[in-house]
Amino acid sequence: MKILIIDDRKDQRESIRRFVESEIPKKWSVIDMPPFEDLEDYVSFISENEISVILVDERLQEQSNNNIVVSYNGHDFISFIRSKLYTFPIYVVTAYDGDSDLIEKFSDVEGIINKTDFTNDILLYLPRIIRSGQHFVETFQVELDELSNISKKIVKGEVTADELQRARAIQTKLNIAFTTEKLNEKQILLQRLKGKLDEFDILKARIDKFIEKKK
Amino acid sequence: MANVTKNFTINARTLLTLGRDSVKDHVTAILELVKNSYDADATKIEIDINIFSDNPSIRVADNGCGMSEKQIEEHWLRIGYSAKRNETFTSQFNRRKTGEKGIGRLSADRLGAILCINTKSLEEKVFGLKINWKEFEKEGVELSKVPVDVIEQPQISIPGSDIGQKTGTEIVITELRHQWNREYIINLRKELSVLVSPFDEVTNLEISLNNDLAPELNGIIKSEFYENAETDLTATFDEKTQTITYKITERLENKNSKEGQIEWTNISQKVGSTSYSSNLSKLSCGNVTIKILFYLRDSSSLEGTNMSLNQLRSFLDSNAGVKIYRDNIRVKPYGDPGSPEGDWLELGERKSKEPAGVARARYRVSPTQIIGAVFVGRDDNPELVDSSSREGLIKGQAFNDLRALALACITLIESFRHKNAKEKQNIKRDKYSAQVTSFKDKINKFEEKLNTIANAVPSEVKTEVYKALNELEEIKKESNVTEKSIAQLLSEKRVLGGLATLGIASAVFGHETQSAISQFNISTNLVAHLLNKDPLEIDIINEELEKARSYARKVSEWGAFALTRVQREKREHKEVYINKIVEKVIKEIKPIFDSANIEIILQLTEIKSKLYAMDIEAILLNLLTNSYTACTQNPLERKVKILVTFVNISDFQIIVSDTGNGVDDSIKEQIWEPLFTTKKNSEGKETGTGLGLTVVQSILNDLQGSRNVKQDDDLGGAQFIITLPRN
Repeated sequence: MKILIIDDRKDQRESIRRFVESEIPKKWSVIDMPPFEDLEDYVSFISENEISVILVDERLQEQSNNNIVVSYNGHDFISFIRSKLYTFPIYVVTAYDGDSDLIEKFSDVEGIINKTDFTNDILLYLPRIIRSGQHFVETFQVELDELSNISKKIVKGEVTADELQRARAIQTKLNIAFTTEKLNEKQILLQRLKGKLDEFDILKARIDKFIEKKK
Repeated sequence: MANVTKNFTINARTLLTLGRDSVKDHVTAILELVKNSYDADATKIEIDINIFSDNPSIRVADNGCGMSEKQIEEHWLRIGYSAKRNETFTSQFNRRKTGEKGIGRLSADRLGAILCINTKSLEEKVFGLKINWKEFEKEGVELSKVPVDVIEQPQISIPGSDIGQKTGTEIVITELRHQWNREYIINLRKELSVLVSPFDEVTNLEISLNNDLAPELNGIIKSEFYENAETDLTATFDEKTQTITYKITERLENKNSKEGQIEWTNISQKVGSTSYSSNLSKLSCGNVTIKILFYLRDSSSLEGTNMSLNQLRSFLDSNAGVKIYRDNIRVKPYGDPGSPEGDWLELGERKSKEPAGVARARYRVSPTQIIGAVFVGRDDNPELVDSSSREGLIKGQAFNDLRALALACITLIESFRHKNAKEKQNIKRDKYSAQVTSFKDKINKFEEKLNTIANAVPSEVKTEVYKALNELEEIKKESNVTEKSIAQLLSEKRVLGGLATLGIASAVFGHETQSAISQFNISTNLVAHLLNKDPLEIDIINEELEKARSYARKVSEWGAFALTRVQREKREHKEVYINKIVEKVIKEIKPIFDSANIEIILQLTEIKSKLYAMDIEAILLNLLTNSYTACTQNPLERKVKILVTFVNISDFQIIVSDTGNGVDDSIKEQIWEPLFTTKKNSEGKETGTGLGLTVVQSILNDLQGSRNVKQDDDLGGAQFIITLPRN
C-alpha cells in the first residue's frame, strides 16, 4: 500500500515524504513526484503502482520540473480524479488552505490540511490518512474476492440470478474505477470470460443431451 | 689592456614575435600598411585582396613619398626605427601620423609568408626587396645572418601613375596565412573609413578597395561617420548681399532642421573679440561655402551605427579641425592638429575661456568636436592670397574676414544647440515646477507694469497703485510658500508611489516568501521530529537544516529588498546611471523569477541622467510584476526582456517585454487607469490590484515622459515602452 505525494516544489515534497516515512506502518511506503503534464496519466499510475491515498498540493503551477510547468492546480486535479475514481481518497496538503477555488472542492476530498499544521501535528493527521487508504484497498479487495467466488459458481453452473446480477454490478464498478487501456483489457478479459462461460453453457447443454440420448 | 666586450645577438624568430604580437589580427596588419601609406603623404592608396586567384595575394600600393635605397637600409630594415617618434606630423600634408611606431611593417608577416616591397622616391630609381618570413623561423639563426633578397629588376605599379604620379610604394604579399571571409572585408572597410574625410569635395586621400571575395564591397572608401554628426551646418556667403544662407540639421531629433538667412551685420556682434580684427560692417573675403559637422564624443553618437566609440574617436582625432580648401585642395596648416596655426579660429582658447555646457547662453564648442571645411577659390576669392612663406595665406583683411565668417557659422551652431537644449530643459522640469515658474514670471511682469504705471499716474492714483503693489508682494510670498508645499507634496507622492509599488510587488511575489517560510517551518519541524527518533538519521537531519537555512535566507533577502525600496538616497534628485539601477533591481528580484522558471534577458546601454532613482525603480518594478504574472500564465515559455537604450541625445527608453498573452488593442488605454486589472483566477475573478500601471502613469506625468504598449515581435507577449527625458 502506498501514499502518493504530488507537489511541484521538490524541497517541500521531499520533506513531507520524509515526515510521512518516519511514521507510517511497515506495510506502507511513500512515493513523491512532481505533477504529470497530462492529467490522464494519473489513472494508470495509480492502478499500476497500487496507490492507496494521495496527498496533493494546491499550487502546482509555481515551479517547473524538467522544464514543464503544468496547466492545472490542485482543485483541477481533484475534479479530474473524482470523474475517474469516485471513491479514491485524496487529501490536500497546502499552504493555501484558504483559497476559494479549493474550498469549493471541500466535499470532494477527505480533507484540506495546512502544510505547517500537518508537519506540526503529523501524528494527528497521518493515522486518518492511513485509515482512508486502508479502507479503500480493503473495500476493493472484498469485491474482487466476491467476483472471484461468483465466477467459480458460473463455471460450475451453480450461480443464481441474483449472484449473476451482483457479478455484473461489481464488474461495472470495476469498469468505472479503472477506465484505462489496461482496464479496457480487463473489459475484454471479462467479455472473453463471459464468452467462455457461454461456451461452457453450450457444452454443458450438449453433454446433457448426449447423456440423455445414451439413457 | 683593452676591455673585453660581448654583444647581444638576436634570434631571427624574435622579429616574427614582435610583428605577430604587435597586431591583434590580419585586418589590423593590413591597416598598419595603409597607415604607413597615409603617413607617407599618399593621396591614393590601393588595396587589392585576391583570394581566388592561382596565387592568392594582398597588395597595398600608394603614391606617397616612397623610399630611397638608403632609406630602406637605414630605416625600413632597421628594427625599431620609426620616423614617427620625432616627427608627429607628415611633411607634406601635416597629417597626424597614425601608424604603430617602428614595427608596423613586421606585422605584414601575419598576412603571408612572402613580402615583396618595391618603392620609388623622387630622386632615385625603383628599389625592391623580397622577404621570406619563413627564413626567420629557423632555429638558432642570428637575425643579421638572414639574407633579404634585393629584387634585380624591380617593377612598381603606383596608383595614379597614369596621371603622372612618380613616387610611391607597392607591397605585395603572397603565400597568405589566413582564411578571409566577408566579415573581415567589412571590418577592414570600417577601419579604413576612419582615415578619410567626411566631405566629398575633399580629395587629399582616396583609398580604394578591390577584392574578389565580396566584390559588392569594392570601391572608394567613404567615411562612415558623415551621417553621425550630431549637428551639421552648410552655409554660403554672398559677398554682394553680405548675407549668410544656412541650413542646420540635427541628426537624431527627427532630423529637425533650421534654414535661414542672416545678414553679416546682424551676426557680427556675436562673433566676439579675437586676436584678429574683422570688418564689422562688410566682409571682403569673397563668396564662401562652409560646411561644419559637430560630433559628440560619446556613445550617443553611435546610435544607429555599428561603429565603436574608439573608431569614432580615432575618426575625430584624424579629421577634427576646420580646414580651408582652395579649389578643393587643402591650404595648410589650417585645421591641422598640433600646428600653431591649425586652430586658426582659436576654438580651443574660446572654449577654455567659456567652458559652460550647452544649457548656458555662452556655450562654446570644443575644437575636437568639429570637422569643418571652408571652401574658397582663386576666382571667387581673389583677395585671399598665398603667403610668401611655405604655407598659409596672407593675414590681411580678407583672411580676417574669412575667419570672422567661419566663426559666425560656428556661432550659429552654438546658438542652435543651446536653444534646443533650453527648450528640452524647460520641458523636462516637472510640470508643477514649470507651472509655478510660469506663474511667478507673470507676477513679476505684472509688478513691472504696475511700477511703470505708478511713475506715470497722478499722485492721488499713485497711492492705490502702491497699495496694489503691496498686495502683489504678499501674493509673491504666498506663491513661494506654495512652491515649497508643492515640492513637499511631490516628494511625499514619490514616497507613496514607492510604497504602493512595494505593496503591489509584495502581493505578486509574496507567495514566494510564503512558500519559503512554509518550507522553513516544514524542515525545522521535521528536524525536531527526527531528533526524537532512534536511530538518528543524521544525513537527513543535516539536509533539512540546510534547507531551513537556505529558505530563511530567501525570506531575509525579500525583507532587505522591501526595506531598500524607500531609502532616502533614492529620493534625492541626482545624477544616476539608469542601467545600474536596472541591474540592481534585477539582481534582487531574479531569485523569484528563477523559482518560476522565468528567464530574464538584459540589454542595457550605459545612460546617465539626473533624476530620482525611486521613480525608475517604481516604473521598472511595476512593469516587472506585470510581466511576472503574464509569464506564469504561459506554462511553455517564460521570458522577460529588459532593454535600456537611447532614443536620441535627449531621451532614453526602458522597454519591458514578456512571453505572456499580450494586451489586447481594445484595452491598451484602459490598463493605465486606476483599479483596472486583467489579472484573473481560473474562474475569471479579478485578482490584480489595478494600480501598478497607474503608478507608472503618475510618474510619467510628473517627469514629462510617455508610454506605449504593443506586441513584442520576438517574445510574442506585451512590450511596454517607457520614454523619459534625459537630464
